[in-house]
Amino acid sequence: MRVTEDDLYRQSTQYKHWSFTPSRLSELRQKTNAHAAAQVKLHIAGDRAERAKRATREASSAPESGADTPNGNGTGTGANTPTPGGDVDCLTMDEEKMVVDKFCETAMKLGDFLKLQPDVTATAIQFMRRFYLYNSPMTYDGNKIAKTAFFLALKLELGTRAGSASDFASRLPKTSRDDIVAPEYTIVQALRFNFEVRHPFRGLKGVHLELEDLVRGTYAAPAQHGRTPEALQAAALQALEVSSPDDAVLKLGNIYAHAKDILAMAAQLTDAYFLYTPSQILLAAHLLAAPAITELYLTTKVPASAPAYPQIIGTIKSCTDLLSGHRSYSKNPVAEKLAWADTDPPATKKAMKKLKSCKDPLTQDLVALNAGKKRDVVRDGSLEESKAKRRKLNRERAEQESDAFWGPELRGGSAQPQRDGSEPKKEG
Amino acid sequence: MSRVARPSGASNRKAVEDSGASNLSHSLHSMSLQHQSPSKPARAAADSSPEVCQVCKSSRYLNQHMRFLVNPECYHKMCESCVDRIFSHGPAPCPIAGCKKTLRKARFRMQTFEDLKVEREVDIRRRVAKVMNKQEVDFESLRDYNDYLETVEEITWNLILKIDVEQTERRLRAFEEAQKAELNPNAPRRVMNAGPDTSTLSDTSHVILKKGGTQRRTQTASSGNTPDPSGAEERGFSFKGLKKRKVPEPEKAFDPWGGYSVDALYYSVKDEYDHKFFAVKHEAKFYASGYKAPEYYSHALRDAFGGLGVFLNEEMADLKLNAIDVPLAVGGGRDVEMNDVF
Repeated sequence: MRVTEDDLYRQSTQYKHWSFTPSRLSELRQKTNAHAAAQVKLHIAGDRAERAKRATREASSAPESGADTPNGNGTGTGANTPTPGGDVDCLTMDEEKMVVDKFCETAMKLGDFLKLQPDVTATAIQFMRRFYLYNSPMTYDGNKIAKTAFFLALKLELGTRAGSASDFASRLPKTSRDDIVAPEYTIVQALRFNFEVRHPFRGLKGVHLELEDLVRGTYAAPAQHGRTPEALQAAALQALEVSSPDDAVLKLGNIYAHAKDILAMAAQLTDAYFLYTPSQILLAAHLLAAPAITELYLTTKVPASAPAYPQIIGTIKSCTDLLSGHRSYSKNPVAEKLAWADTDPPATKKAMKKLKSCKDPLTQDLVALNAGKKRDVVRDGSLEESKAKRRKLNRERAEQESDAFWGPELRGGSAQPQRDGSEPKKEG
Repeated sequence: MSRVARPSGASNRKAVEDSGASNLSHSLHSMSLQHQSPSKPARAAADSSPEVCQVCKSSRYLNQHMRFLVNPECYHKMCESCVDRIFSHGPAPCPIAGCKKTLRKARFRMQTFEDLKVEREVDIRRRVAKVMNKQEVDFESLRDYNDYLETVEEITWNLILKIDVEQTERRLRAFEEAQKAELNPNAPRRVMNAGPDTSTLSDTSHVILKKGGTQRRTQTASSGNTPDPSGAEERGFSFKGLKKRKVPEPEKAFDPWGGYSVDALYYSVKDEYDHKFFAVKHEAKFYASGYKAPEYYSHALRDAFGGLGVFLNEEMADLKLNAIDVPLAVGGGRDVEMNDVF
């Protein structure tokens, strides 16, 4: 059976689970936001009630001090803000999106700071974007999630060369191994264990390879329409506004670098990955970097008369609009790549400020939360009663089953029977 | 298995070890048996005592580790040291008077059954059964199968009772060869080439018989394979209703893609691209680990156009594919808990 490259892409998890129409995407965000807001209100109310109770208890003896809050450092939780009573003002969906974009920009700076390869940074940012589709920034703090997302991306892209969690933590300021590891399972679960992110970077190199062929006159296109490689070469040189193939190759190098910058920034910080396929994204970036040559190149792939042509061009153009609409986009390549990120738009600033007062108090200390989820961790002196009971029952049943296999237990013997693999064999 | 059974099992093992440990008691036991049967000595004397080697006349009484061996050519018993002495330097005739069979050291063995006649019969049956290994499914009808079984039994008894041994052996070998040829038609058949040379069998067959077993066998086998007027003679036996063996289909070459092949719409990969950015393409250290530049080219181009014609705007609108938020408690609520084993 013959399959096309499109069919191959349809097999990827990115297509199956992480591709959306714009309306579905906002629907999903709305749902996440509504759910998270409800949770946040519930938890903050509960937290306040408890604090009020404790305050009345301590009112007589000690002077009021906010030092012994349940969250240790006591910063950044909504419970600490001096808004007693009053309804909690949660983020809206749009504000949430701004906040997530801000988190991703910070993550990009972090990748720059750590001197990571661009695809590691891109993978980490996509992990974050996917994570915040199903989780709210009110619930999980972006800076904590970013560190772990980077660690996951490192492991994914570099494999065994990634190093351990403690190695990675030592490269970050004020971070311990537990900070890295604690949200890991939560993130991986939200990612549905879909670790593969299809990036447009390698594809861009493929396009670059073929374009170099094109300007050298050795290109064999699938839709030539009688145009010889030489005719295509002449057209390409004209489109690039150069006279010799060597100049054209130099210019293509610049175009490639510009397109790569667009992919590394604008494509990461918008919803491009959710709405378009990597092929469309990279061609859109290339179209932004060099419109004439890209259009010529596209007509050699899909003839302008083909029925699919308008739709393909339309999709790429709409992706172009999305990419060029981001504030990181510049018409010409710039030296200082992250300069645009130094100042935030006022709306983002406002949303970030608002976030401080509506964080979910239950999920701020991820390390403690993770420790609590682990097996047999003793919390407040004893395990949860139902859990302990269930474990005891299960353990007893397992012991009985093993008895049925190995024979009944030795009774009345002096030595305690050994319950491990080194049990002596029972027959000679 | 149970706890109760354990001590008895242990004591059993101990008993076995005890009995195995002392050979002395065993040999004493056997000697006492000999003494207890006064009716037997006559027969023992007639056999000139099983405890005395017929060749060197040494007795087990003097050497209790003595072992007696037989050779399935003639089933004459002799002690291990005689076998070593006589046959170490290659095949030699049997030293028992009147037996002129050529024996080889490799085929000497301990006898399994006390009665050598039984030993011989078992050997013959084993040999016949190895050749005549048809099953009921190989025949058209049950009647044919039963006829076949009867023929097999007849052959066996002919060999056991030494009736028409020469002819039966020859036919048996011819049949075996025919079976082998049918199973593996491409196998080189040395015997066929040597066939015509030994087709005259009149007086040379006597000489051949004195030679070693293997040599003789090939000779007779080749004589069995000589072109005979009747096809049945060439095949040794022909059985009515025996189905012709179906040759299994030759295995197809393994296809790791299971019949799928990528048929690119938008590109065709070349083996070589003229470019600078990928400078390592011709360095031996990259080839050595199995890295190939063409692989990279095809991967890059597949990435470049994989999904060009996939319009998520349309395809995701009516698709239920990404509606997977069913079992996962998402949206900032409680996460799905880890599976708790205990």
